[in-house]
Amino acid sequence: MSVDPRIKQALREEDVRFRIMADCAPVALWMAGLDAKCTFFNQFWLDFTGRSMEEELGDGWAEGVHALDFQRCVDTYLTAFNARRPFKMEYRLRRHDGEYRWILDHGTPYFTADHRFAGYIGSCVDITERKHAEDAAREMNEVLERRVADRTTELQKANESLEAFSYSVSHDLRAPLRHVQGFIHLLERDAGDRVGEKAKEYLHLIADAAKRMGRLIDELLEFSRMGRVELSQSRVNMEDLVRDVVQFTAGDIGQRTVVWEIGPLPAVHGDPSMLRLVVENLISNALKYSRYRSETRIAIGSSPAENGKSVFFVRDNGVGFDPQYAGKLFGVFQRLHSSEEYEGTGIGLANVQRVIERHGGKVWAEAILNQGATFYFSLNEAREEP
Amino acid sequence: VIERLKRILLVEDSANDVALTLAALEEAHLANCVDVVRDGAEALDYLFRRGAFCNRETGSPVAVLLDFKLPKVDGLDVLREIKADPGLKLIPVVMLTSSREEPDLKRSYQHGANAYVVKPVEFHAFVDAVKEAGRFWAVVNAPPPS
Repeated sequence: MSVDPRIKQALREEDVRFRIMADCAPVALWMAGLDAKCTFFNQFWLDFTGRSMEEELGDGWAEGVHALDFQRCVDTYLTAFNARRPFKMEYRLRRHDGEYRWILDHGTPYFTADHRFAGYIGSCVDITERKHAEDAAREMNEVLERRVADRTTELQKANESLEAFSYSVSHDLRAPLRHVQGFIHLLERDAGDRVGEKAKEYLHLIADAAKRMGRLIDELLEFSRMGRVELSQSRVNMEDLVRDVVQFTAGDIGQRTVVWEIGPLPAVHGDPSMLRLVVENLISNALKYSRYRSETRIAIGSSPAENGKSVFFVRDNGVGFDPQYAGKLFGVFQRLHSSEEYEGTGIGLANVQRVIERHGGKVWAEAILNQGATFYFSLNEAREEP
Repeated sequence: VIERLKRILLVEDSANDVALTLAALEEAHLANCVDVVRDGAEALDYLFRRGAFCNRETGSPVAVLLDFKLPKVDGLDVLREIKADPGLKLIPVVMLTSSREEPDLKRSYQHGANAYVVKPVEFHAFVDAVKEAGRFWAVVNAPPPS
């Protein structure tokens, strides 16, 4: 049976058109037959590898694949080929100048008009630059992560030694202090009637100073404990907690007029006894610094949770503080008022900050001098009960 | 003769604490009954009547006031030895410490301490604590059941 020469001519023309198209393409192209052997490489491919068509045909092209990528490459190719599925693979291919370049190879099975499998057509792009950028980014990330881990360890160590230091200082300071107080007592007991009024007054002053130092040491110990003790977290109903604390403080209020404005307050996830400490501290501060108002107003409220955190506030109409010293509020033994004016050691807010930060929250304050202060803290929303 | 055997053993390395404890025991009228040793090794020598104490009169103290932190052999080890000895283990031991640390307390009770006193900073409280510790003396001083 002879083929119409016009069809032959048309097929030849089709073939030429394909060649021209393939050779002008700005990517490397290849074709493989039914036996998975390559039957064609376009000019871009041949220019890239610097090899001849004869060298590349069949399995010749695989000689240019990097030894480390070879097996993976062959496996991917044959697996896809046998399943007649498209594939994508990355491998290093030797360029004409001997440099291995990263190639993204995309192979697709093709079928004749009557749906018979005829082989594969593939296209390749050089992704070396992208690969390098990715590697650099990954390396940078690793370096950064390592650095963060190192810093964290350093910080933890520094923190631990600081804890140990503050503990041993406060612990070891207690003994001599106990001695001072003990001997003052014995002196008063044994020589009380022989010392003059002035001397008695001095003894009292020594005793008071020692007592105050004892309080500072105990509070420092407590502060250090607060940093070390493990949190035992559960659902905490803040409104119940606040109302409970307010009721407890009623005894300290005496004849004062205090207008409370409480809640509604959401539940949070936290350590109940530690959060009680926070609330007690803030409320007792609010009461303390508003004691000379004819009418004390204290509001405890919250704003709706954002990003899983609820923000609470305790607002009073007391003496407030100069906002420029706001940063000093939360430091250990930092005070903005003299202890003659307002009693206290200055560790309360440091404890508040420590507890809140250990809960992953933040604490901050706003105030206007002589008009009152507002303390804010954020805590994690209560979790769904299992 | 019997009275002389009713001793309290105070094991305390700090001279100041010894003076204060004796003063506190004095207020409880117990100061004359106290023997003082200054470290854990001495305490064990005293209790086992060996070394410098090999000629000590026989009989165990009615109570031991034992400081937690001691030179040489520390308080916890002394406690352990007392509680491991069949002849000594019934002596009430009161641990004295300036520590409020919970592990100390737990370890003391695990090793059989009969009481645990945190030396308070306030002298009045200290006197009370020592008197409380001395109550073992009073308890043992009561006529024994016949």
